[in-house]
Amino acid sequence: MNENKEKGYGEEIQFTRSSVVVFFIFLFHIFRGFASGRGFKQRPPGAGGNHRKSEVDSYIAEASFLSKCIRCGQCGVVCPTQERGEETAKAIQFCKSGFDQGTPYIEPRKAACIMCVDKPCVVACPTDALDLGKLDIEQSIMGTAEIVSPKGCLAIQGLRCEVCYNRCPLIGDAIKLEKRVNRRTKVHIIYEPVVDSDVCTGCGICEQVCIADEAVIKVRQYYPPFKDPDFYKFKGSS
Amino acid sequence: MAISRRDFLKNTAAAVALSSLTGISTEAKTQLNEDKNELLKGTKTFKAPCRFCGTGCGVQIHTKEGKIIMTEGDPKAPVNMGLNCIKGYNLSKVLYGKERILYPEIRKNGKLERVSWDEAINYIADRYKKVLKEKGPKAVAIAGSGQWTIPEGYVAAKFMKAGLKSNNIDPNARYCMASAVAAFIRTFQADEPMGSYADFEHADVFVTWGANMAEMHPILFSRLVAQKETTGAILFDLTTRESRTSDEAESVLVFKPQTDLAILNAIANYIVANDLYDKKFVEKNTRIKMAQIEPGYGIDPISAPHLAAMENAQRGRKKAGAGTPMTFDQYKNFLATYTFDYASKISGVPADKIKKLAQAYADPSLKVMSLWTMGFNQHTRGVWCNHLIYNIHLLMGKISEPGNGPFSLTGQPSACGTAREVGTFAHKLPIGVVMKKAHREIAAKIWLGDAKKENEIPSKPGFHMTKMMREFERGNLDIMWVQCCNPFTASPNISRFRDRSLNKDSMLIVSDSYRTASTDLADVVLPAAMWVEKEGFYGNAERRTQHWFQATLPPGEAKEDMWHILAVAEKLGLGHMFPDKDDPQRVKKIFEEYRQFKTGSSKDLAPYEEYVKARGLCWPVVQDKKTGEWKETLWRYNAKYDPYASKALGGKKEGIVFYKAKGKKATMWCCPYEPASEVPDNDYPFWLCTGRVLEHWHTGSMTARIPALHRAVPYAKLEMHPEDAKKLGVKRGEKVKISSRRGTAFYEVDTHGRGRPQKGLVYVPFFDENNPINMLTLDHYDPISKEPDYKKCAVKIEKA
Repeated sequence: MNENKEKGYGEEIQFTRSSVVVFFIFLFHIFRGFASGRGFKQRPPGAGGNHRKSEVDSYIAEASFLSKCIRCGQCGVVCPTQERGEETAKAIQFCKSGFDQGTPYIEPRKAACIMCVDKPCVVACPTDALDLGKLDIEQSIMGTAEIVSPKGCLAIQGLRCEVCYNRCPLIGDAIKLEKRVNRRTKVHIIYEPVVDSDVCTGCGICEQVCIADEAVIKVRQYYPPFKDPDFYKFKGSS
Repeated sequence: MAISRRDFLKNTAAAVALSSLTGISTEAKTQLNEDKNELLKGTKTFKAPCRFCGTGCGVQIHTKEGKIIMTEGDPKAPVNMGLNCIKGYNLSKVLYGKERILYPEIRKNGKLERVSWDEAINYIADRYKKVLKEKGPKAVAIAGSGQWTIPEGYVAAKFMKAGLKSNNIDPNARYCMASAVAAFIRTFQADEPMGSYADFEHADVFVTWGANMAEMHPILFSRLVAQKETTGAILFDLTTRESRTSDEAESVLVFKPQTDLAILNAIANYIVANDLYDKKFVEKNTRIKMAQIEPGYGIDPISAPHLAAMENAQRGRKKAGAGTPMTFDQYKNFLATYTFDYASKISGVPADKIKKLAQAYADPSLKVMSLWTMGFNQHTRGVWCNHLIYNIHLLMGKISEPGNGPFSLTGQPSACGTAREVGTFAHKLPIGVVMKKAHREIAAKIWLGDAKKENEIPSKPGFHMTKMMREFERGNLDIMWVQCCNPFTASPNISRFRDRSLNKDSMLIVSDSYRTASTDLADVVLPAAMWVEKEGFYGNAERRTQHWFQATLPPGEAKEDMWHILAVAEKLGLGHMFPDKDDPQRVKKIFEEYRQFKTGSSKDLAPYEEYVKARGLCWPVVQDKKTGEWKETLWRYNAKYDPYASKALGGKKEGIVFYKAKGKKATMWCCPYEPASEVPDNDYPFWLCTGRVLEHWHTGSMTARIPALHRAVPYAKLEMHPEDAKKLGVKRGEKVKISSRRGTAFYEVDTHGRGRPQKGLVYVPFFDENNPINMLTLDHYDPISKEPDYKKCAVKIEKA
């Protein structure tokens, strides 16, 4: 008994090298799942310095943004009010609960970022939580659009919708149309919207305007292309 | 609407499968006119044409307990083969939008108050009686629509022309394709295109002239692009603003507004000067006339005093529509000025681009399809533009053959069916025109029972739509009845028409389903049933007449527009002319009466029952004498397809003959380039062009009520060239003040949208009822067709 007790409390738990690797891979997957799924929050442009020219990864930018945001609400004040018929809405809203309570986020289905040319929210931010440097708003990364349920997309079914393409602020660049002949009718074209995630800013206008009951195109976390293939490799492993 | 598509399909799969397996269409079994309550039982499937543009896509309507739960493209419909555009997909929601008008209303002490149908009808009828007695039939008018069903339009035309003896009836189609009609009549002495949508699968070259088909005729454009992808056909796009259509084009010719006339003549000149034309065809099938030059611009000095002098000078000339015969050599001499360099200088399009286009037209081995809509039609020289395109096709003999032909597209679901075929225009009858005694005799025989009563139908054309609005504004019309349209948003220069200070004593009746600017100004508002809340027929751009049954009950006390007119007609003692307003067989009876006009006229229609079965039939629908089968005609004037052409050629099964034309020869009209009426100057340096977007239809009175479409495009933006924006110091997303000599409005600037205007031109769609661009447009029109030009006026733009 005594021996056992001593063993339990006294000795350091010996991590094998492989168990550490497994643990990190586990963590990484949780992070990825967290980031690409429900956990993703679309932040205003330049959150945590996330833009085309920066090297930061989107979830590192998120952590950086959370540490720098002082929850002052200035970005929401300057965010322009959008007319929605009788209703009005602002793109920037604030988290009401949780560990990030008071931080700004965007819910595109309600009101997407309209990508103001003069970036009022970035200018208004007293810290550098929202930071685009001297870059244009087109260089910001709020996420990237993704057709999450292609089966529900009218354009892919051959119907002439393409509203996401038509309303995209970077029409033809961020969303492109791929053509193919409709195999059923043989005399119609199908315009399939395809997102170029290296151009898409993730403003969310496509998600807002999608005419399906639940948007089939949604803003998701953006992962930059792997520049360094060894980036995620555990350096210590042999 | 809570039932999802999948749930619904699960529930009704069995029923639908059964009906398709047995080969009996469900709609045939659910002929429910006799018992309205039948509509409310179980789930049912109906067919109908789409209610929006002139393409006429077929849709299937699924109802459950009398409510439409879903619509989808009809795979059996030859027009769209089961596909729809974004508007067609949302069709069912158009019936269930917010703020439907449910009850008749009369303005009392400045406020619209709910009244009973009896009171509303009596109120209208009493007023009619008083006005007809005191001022005669010239003081009443009906502003109709190409959205009327065929029976509705027919009843309205008969009510006015034979009942009240007034020709003051005109549809909003006047704003849409009157120029195309006038050119068809002047060239072929018969209205409507010769080809059909089947042309798309045969053409080698497509040319879009001022038509953004990608957005305005989305399903047809889908066919066009598929043809390009599968066969390598090419597309030339001629436009003043690059659009989604231009994105697909191999060659985009961006020309300065109005200079299309010069480009068209330059192409004809290339063909004639190089002797490339089809001499046999030209000799056999055409004659040439010189058009009356400088016929004026239909400008009202009140709205444009700065142009009054020019207008007066031009108006002093002969009739705008007059023409003098010409020889081919004279025509050749006339064209000689229009070299590529000259056309290039005027239009700003590089000469080699025009040459390539001309070569495509002139190559006898290429099948060319020219397509156009409002760019040509809404043009102060719209009829001329239409003529010039026919000239090119006639010179090359590229007409009335599969894949070869000029094709005039339409914008309203029944612009062809109701406005043109029924003849709801101020000068038309269901067959022919009011000016001709022979035509009036046919009408009098069917309408009044005796050809000798032709003198009862007035022989002078009534007010066309623009004139009607002007006369109403000045208080010269005592009653104006607006049905199925919204002229107080759609008319050019509406600020003057919305002012009701001069016509306080006139009565404005509006039959509509939703509240619009027109109902806001109305004295009497009547709730109208729309689309499948009533039975009807529509006729699309390829002469296809399509029938649908009532699928659901209208909300509140709404009644079909025809019922409104029949109720008033009854009170005015004209009830004997029409079937009873509540007769379940009324649509059939009216259609069969209307069909008498067409039988034997080369515009034959099939009996009612045939349309119930078919997914539409393209007229002339002629019965095969042996089999008794009713056969549609896809290519008119071509003896291979058109029995009338075959007859005109003495039974031959080959060859083209314009059998309706005078001497069987189509007229080539020789029309010069003439400048636009209001051109940008130092004070107003920009051109303004208006139009539509894919998501919305016309003034948005329906599509803006569909939440998904409203969310897709909530308001109109002003499209501008990025360099112009830079010069003005405005950035994308900022507001600008745009003003013309007639009005001012504020819009958000878009420099990188789906449309990219040329430098010096701005584009604003007109669907935004809260911010109508028609406050600025000029009410000038083509002096021949009387169709206003919405595409050109001068504006200035300032940073707001």
